Amino acid sequence: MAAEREPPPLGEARQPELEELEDGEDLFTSTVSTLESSPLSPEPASLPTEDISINSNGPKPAEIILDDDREDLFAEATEEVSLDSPEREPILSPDPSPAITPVTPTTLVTPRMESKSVTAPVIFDRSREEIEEEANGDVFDIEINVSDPEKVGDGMNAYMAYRVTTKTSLSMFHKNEFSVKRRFSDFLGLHSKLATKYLHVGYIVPPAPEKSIVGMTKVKVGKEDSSSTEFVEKRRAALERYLQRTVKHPTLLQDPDLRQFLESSELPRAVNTQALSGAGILRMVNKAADAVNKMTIKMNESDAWFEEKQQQFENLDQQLRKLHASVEALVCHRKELSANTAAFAKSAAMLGNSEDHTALSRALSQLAEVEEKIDQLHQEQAFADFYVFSELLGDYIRLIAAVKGVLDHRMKCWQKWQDAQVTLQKKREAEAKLQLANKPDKLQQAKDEIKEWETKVQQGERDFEQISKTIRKEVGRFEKERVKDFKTVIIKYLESLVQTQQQLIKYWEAFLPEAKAIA
Amino acid sequence: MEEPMEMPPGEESKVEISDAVSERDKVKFTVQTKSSLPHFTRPALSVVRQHEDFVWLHDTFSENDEYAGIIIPPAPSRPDFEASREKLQRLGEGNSTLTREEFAKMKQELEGEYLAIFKKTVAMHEVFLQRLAAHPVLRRDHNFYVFLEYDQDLSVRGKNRKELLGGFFRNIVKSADEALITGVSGLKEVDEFFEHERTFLLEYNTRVRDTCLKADRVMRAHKSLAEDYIPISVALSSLGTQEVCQLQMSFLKLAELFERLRKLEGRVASDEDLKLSDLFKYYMRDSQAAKDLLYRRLRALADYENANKALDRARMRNKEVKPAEAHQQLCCQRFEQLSASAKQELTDFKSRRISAFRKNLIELAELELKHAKASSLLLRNTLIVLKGDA
Repeated sequence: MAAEREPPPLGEARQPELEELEDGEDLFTSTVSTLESSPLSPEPASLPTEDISINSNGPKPAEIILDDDREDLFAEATEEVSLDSPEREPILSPDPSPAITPVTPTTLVTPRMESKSVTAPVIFDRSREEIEEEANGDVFDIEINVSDPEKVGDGMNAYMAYRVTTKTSLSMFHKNEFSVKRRFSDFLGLHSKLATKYLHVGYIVPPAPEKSIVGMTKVKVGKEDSSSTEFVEKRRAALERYLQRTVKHPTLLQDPDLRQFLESSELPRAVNTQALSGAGILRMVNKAADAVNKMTIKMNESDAWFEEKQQQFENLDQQLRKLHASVEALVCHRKELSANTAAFAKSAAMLGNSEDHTALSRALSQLAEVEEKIDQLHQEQAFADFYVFSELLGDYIRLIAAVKGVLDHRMKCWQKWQDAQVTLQKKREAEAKLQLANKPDKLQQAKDEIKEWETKVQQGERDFEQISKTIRKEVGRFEKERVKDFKTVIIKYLESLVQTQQQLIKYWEAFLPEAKAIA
Repeated sequence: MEEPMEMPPGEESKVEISDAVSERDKVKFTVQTKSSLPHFTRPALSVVRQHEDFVWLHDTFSENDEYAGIIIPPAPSRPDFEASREKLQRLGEGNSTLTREEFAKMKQELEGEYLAIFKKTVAMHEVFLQRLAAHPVLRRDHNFYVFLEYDQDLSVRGKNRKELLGGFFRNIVKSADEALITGVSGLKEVDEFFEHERTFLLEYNTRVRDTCLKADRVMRAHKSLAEDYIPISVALSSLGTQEVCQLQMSFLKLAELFERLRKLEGRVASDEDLKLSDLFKYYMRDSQAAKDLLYRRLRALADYENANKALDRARMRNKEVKPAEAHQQLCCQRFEQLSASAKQELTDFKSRRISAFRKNLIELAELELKHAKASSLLLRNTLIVLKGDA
């Protein structure tokens, strides 16, 4: 039921308005009040419904907001797309969902229009609750913990099961606190589903932690040494960060697959994630093909913003990789320092034992003790170096790859649109020829084809504009998160360094009188 | 590192290395002496010596039987700039993965290292001479005067092959004779003092050798750590200049912080080197010298016992009793002299050791505290700035 309306020409100038509106409380005070909810939190980015309403109205932000324009709004609404209406059509299959699903934002914004809405009321109800919740400010009231890694099974078929605990007050979940057991491939399966659904329309889907055949094999084989415990801990922490990032994303949080992952006690086994499976190989081939394609797409970038961002992320990627490598070296050397300090401590203790002057002997033993404690300190610091600093950098290197991926999808989208235009042109030329040749039966077919391709061109344009808009929003959100993340981590890391130094002061202050006591 | 022993009033000899120059492979030390001793032609002397000259001096002492009852101060080790020079060379060889900033910092770091090694070798050579000057017997040695005064080149040639081989064999004989010290020979030690010292020194020498090695490794790991801060600081700095403005300050501040932390870590490493590694190294050598003394004493004891046996045999056969008696007297005297001297030396060794350890451990603790407090302050100040910005 698409109302054919020509969108008014939309210039760059519109965009700021769009953003303003997102930030503005106005939008929601008007609507929310009609929904009889309480005062709302001005956190625009956190409202998924807002995404839907604004996104789907592409080039006409102004009209959306005002109460008076509800009529228009509604009419307009039938125009376009947003993929992020998963609650409307739960998509559980791994196949790419159709790029465009008609969404009527008005159902969220203007309840009185409900009767005219083209979507199911049920979904609306839920979204309404969500608006209320979000309005109440518990948008990100969801806390995820990954804990208790447990080895299940034996030999090469063994795997680690992790406990995923969710604490939340969001009503989209059945309970406030619940936990399930998941294995690594389940996480990969979740990511795969989310990526398939959201990446190609411009959402930055947080990447899952990497596979490690070597690491896992050691664990399977049952090596109970420190390196496999370390590996499991590293993985557990990475899985936790992965889930935390994913639920922070307002759109992904709404996804039923995510919900199922967090809630269901039984999850269908994600077999396509096996490294050497058929699907795995197919994925590798596709990735390679993508890389080739990317090189051959030369896009006329009319939007300087995208060009700038492309460059910015390219630079950031390079810099982060450098920094990451250096921090990894730091971790390595600190561990070495720790080991050497421990060896020295033992040696000093032995020296103390063989020293025949009592006071000196005691002082040397004390020195040995101090050094042992310092070894412990070094170990803890190395731990912080790694888990706080190094892993964050690693995460962001992978996240930026996802951003670049999304930018690539936009290019592909553009290409598709261009291709459609070319085909349309060809069809038109073919029709013109047929006109001259006077073949009425083929002419009709040609006219039909032209109609078909005209639609495709329009669709292509809309898709392109949609993905561009989504990406802008996503990048904005991503950068905000990134700034916050980095600032938090830097402070946390520095605090760990301060802690180490404070301890060192304590230990040496305790030792000094012992040294002075040597007579 | 060493406190010179008390000098009797009226005899002032002050020896120091006032300057040192590194030329190609050689280091030339300028040794200055101020002395009121009548032996010297002038009250103030200045000569240039090389490492080999020091080794020669040491060897003349250790080969001199008159000094058998003295712990000969260990010779300083050869100045070794190899490792440092190699590193500098590799750096200069145009490692293209380093940015200009990184290169400059690494160069600075290595140059500092080179300088530190240089200072250490000067100190070690100086300490050797100062110990000699402080020893009431050794400082009267003729060769010592020559060393301090002779203004020409000593032309101490490096040991030729025969001498090196000779030295090598001497060491083997010595090790075999160590059986004497370890008591395997059955030679009875009658003096409790020496019995205790023997047991103690054997174990101590082994342990301190090990501790020296381990301390060295710690010091080197600390250095690597300090060096790691260089690329981190540089990477943070370039991130800072390119980043979005909200993060710019954080990264730039962090870059600055790591640069300063690097210097502090570097100082911790070098202090550990000076106060711990060097201390252990010195006492490894000094305890070895003490072991050598014990060995010489036991050798003298063995000679004495042999002389006794010879005398008994001579008396039994009533042949050549007088020379045997004379020989036995000589051996007895020698042994007793050695023992008395050794006792004094070993007592001095102990007090020297205790005071050196005390001084170094106190200084180590004070320096570690100083650096930890500086680091802590630096970190806390940076945190205040960053938290204020957030």
